[in-house]
Amino acid sequence: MEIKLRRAGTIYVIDITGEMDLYNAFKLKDIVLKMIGRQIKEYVINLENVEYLDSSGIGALLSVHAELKKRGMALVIANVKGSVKRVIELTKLNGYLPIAADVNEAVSRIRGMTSQ
Amino acid sequence: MNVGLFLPKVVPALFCIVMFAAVRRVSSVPALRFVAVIVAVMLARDVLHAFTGVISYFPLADLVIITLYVFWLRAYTGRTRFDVFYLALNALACAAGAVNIFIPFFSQIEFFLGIWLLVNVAYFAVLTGLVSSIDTEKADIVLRSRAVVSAALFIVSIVTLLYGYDHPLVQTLLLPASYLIPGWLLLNYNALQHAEGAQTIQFYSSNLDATYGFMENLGNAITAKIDLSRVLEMIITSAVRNIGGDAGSILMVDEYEDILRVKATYGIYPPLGPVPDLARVTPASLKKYFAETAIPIGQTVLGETVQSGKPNLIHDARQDERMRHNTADDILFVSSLAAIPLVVRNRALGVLSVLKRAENQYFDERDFQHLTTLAEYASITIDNLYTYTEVLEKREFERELDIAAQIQRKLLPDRLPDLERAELAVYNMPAKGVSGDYYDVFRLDDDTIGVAICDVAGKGIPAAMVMVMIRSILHLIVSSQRDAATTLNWINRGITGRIELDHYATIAFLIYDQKKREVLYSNAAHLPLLVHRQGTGTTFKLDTEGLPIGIEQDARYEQKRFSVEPGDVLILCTDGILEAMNTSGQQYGLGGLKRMVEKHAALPAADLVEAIRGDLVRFVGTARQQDDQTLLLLKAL
Repeated sequence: MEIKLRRAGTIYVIDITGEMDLYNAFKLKDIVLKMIGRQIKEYVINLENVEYLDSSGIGALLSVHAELKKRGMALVIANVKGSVKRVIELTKLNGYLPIAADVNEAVSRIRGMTSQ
Repeated sequence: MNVGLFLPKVVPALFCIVMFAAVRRVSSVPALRFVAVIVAVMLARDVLHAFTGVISYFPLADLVIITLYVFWLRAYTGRTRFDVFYLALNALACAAGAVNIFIPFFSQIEFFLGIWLLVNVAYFAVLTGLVSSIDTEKADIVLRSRAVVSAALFIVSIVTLLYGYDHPLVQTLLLPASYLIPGWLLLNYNALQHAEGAQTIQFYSSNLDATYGFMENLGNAITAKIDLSRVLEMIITSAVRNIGGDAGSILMVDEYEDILRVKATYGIYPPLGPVPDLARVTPASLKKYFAETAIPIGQTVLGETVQSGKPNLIHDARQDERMRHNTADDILFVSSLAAIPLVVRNRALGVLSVLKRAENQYFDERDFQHLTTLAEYASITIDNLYTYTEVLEKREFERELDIAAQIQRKLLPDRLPDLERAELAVYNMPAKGVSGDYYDVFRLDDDTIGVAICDVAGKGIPAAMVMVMIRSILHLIVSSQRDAATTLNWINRGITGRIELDHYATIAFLIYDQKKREVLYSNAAHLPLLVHRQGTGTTFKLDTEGLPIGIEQDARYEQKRFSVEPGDVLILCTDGILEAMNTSGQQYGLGGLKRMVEKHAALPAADLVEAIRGDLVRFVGTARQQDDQTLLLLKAL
């Protein structure tokens, strides 16, 4: 799994590539915790290039979501599709996790939230 | 033939040849060629004179010789466009002189050539006078010999002009002595070679000393405790001290972003760019500002060094545009800088840099070489450290998985209860070192049993602890008085908020009444229940809504009640069964499971489980088992 960060204004887009599983899912948690420490408040997690997601990967998404929610920060997950989508649906989290079709939609949704 | 006039020239000519051979043996610079040709032309001139007695060749030969001197110098300074013109003029003069020997047309030509030779010598003297160590590479030989060579050439050309080449003293003293001019050059080459050799030896031995000292320190830092930041501190301290710098820093590329972060500093290392006034107030505030400000890759000399992967030596910061923020006489002043990329796993992952910060203090080529050696060693060390830490973490993780697997094995029931009107059978295969599946069967009263199947996300001891918690709560609360949805609700309330979200769990729970053949099923996001109807021979999925356990305190769970007939089969499993993969990457899937159930539904539960297990093992073949597999069957009788 590889994680890269890019910015869209005040929003940070976290691009994840590869397999997100038991052996590396903790990295996502680590980086988001570090970013919270740097006062970053708006996040998009882009799963476009994730080939495989297991229960640990879902666990990482859940804990990042909870951590940000607790602090009133914004998170939208983008590009949930294919096998990733199947796993999330199977775990019945598609209604629970904030999901957008793509990064653009995710970014505009966060902008909508913060402008209110 | 006039051997008497030739003999005095033999000894100095021999001296030149011997010197040339000696210098040539050690190293051969291209300019040396010109010196050899000069000696050869002189010899040819004197041999020709000895045989023919013709004196008119001398001015021509000397013109060729002075031209060769100019081109010898050009080998160091580089040629200019004017050289072609100069060569053409001399060629013309020589040609005129040569024609005049055979077809005399100008009686004063020898005087004219003598004057022209003098002009040439003056030109050579001016050219050598302009050479300085700044604009000329390896100017030492020119600086060392220019005064003597120019003066000697002047003397020779003036005396021959005044007294003529055929004067006995010119032939027996001056011309033999003129061999000492190239001889002097060769002597200087020789002396420089000796000095350089001594310097090289000194350099290598001091470099070795520094590297050994550095390795020793580093060895100590590493054995004490594996701590990358401490090792980096150690590296930068040694590097600064070794090359006599005033400050140093190590920056490493961020794991996720294309920026450099300061990992270690020594002394007061000013940022190499604009700095807000507030940060300039004290050395401490400057230090803090530098340590906390990330540098995008490609920006400032440091960012550039990482981007290009090539070292940067800025001898004099004032001469380098990139250092313009650090050349004013203030707290940011830098006089000289060396920055070397740290290349780990074939990628520039950082930069080690050392500064001089005192007026007129500069790093030289040798400091640069020292630092390059240290940086190479530091890169290897960092690489090793990364690998070592990875191996260590992996080993710890695997040990933890082993312990967790042991805990998990103890949580599973030893045997399943025997029922009068139903059969139970289970297949459970934990993946090596990984544990997450849990199942249990409870006897609630004479006629009812509770069946649970659970998969905890994540692995290791934290996951096993969640499993222990779920099992404890289940054992406390299961009862014939409590329905399936309530049981899941209670488990969720007991767990949520007490576990890390990474270790959420999916559970399916069902209560079966063997007398009424009635099923009450509730699911917390586990795989749906499979129901096989013996009457129709078909299998269908059954599911209820609800989030996994451990996420939301007030998650609601539904339940479904339905009846079964004798011969009907209820199948619970974990994703390890459905996602079991063969070597060509295909999954066993719901299809594989359904096919086997429908084909062998008539078998007793234990045999049916065995048939599915056998089919699964055949399907997977030699592929490695990725996840725990649990399959639990209940057959109504």
